Amino acid sequence: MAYKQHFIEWFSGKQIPSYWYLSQVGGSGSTFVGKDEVDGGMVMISGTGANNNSWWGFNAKNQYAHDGFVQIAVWRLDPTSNGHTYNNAQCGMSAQTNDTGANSVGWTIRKTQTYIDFRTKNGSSATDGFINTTTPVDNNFHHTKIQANSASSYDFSVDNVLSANRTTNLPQGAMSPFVKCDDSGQVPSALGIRYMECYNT
Amino acid sequence: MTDSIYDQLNAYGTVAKQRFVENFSGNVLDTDRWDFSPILSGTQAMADEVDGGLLMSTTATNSSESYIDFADKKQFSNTGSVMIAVMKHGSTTGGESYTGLQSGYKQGNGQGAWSYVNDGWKGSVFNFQTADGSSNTWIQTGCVASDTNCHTHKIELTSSAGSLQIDGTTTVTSTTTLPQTRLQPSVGINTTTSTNRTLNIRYMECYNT
Repeated sequence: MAYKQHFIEWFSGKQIPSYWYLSQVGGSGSTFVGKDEVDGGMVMISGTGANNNSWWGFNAKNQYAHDGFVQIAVWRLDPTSNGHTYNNAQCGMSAQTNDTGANSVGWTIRKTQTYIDFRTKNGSSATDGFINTTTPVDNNFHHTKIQANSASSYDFSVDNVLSANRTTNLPQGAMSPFVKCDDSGQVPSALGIRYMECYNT
Repeated sequence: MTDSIYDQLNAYGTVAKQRFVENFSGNVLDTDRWDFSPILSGTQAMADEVDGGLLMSTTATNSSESYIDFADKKQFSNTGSVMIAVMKHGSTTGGESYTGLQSGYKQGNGQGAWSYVNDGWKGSVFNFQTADGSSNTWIQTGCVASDTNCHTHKIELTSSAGSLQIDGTTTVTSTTTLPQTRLQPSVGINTTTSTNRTLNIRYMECYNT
């Protein structure tokens, strides 16, 4: 079998590599730099200003098949987030350069929620909202995995525990990895990440 | 079914710790990851040579230096980490060549553990040097003779010891002057004469254990 698209990001060193693309959806001044901490990886700041919202991805260069891919990430809502109620960090796969469009799947850690949750958007609209797991929201690093078994079956696991298998409202087009954080107030959120791997199956 | 690299590197059920692999390939050094700090016009560039990796060079001026690190982003543990580097020294005299994990800016400035060579000062071996911020130790007994061939240098740090292994066979261990703070990878070369010295590195991997 020929080798399929496969990439690993180590989030080590000074700053995010330039093949990651910033879409500053709201506010300004998002950064994504190495964290000076053992196992700290890199930390992404959403920026400042009203409704600050930053999205780092591959600028919709969608190389991963919606009907057969895996994404693994080790990440957290970084404790340098200011604790504001609306601190929000996300990590997943999307066809877009923001979270307003269709064809998207990802994990979310939000201070307004009790549990880490995930969300899927199908090919026409954001028909699904956030779906709770039983893993509490905190500032620890978590292992998340999204596995597209087929166009009609996705598995979601957090910390190696299968949280759900979904068969409806799944993406119907190619996607690429993203990380995002925002705060609907005027204070920044921060996302920490030290590993990501995506590959087609 | 394609397997993940993650599952090959990490025990099932664990959350991966910090790790990176640098292949030193392509047009230029990845300066998003690495910070380059030359002194007296030291240089670095990808080598146009089979297995050449990154070529780091001093100039022919005393104290010229070429050095790379993570700009003080110290993500590796002094009590549980590994560094592996594949490199060769263009010469083993006339200055220092080193690779390892360290806390400070440039070798000898800060704490750390290095594979170190400088035949004129520390004997004709790949020394295992450790520094705890107040003192340095250079282990020479049992170390591999230094030369200008390519070798795999592996340093491992635990809470009680550090070790240097060359080419997977010879290992020396130190339990004194071990680094007491978190660390970043570093590679450097300097000259103490009017010799233009070089170092090639084509692989580095660091990870917390």
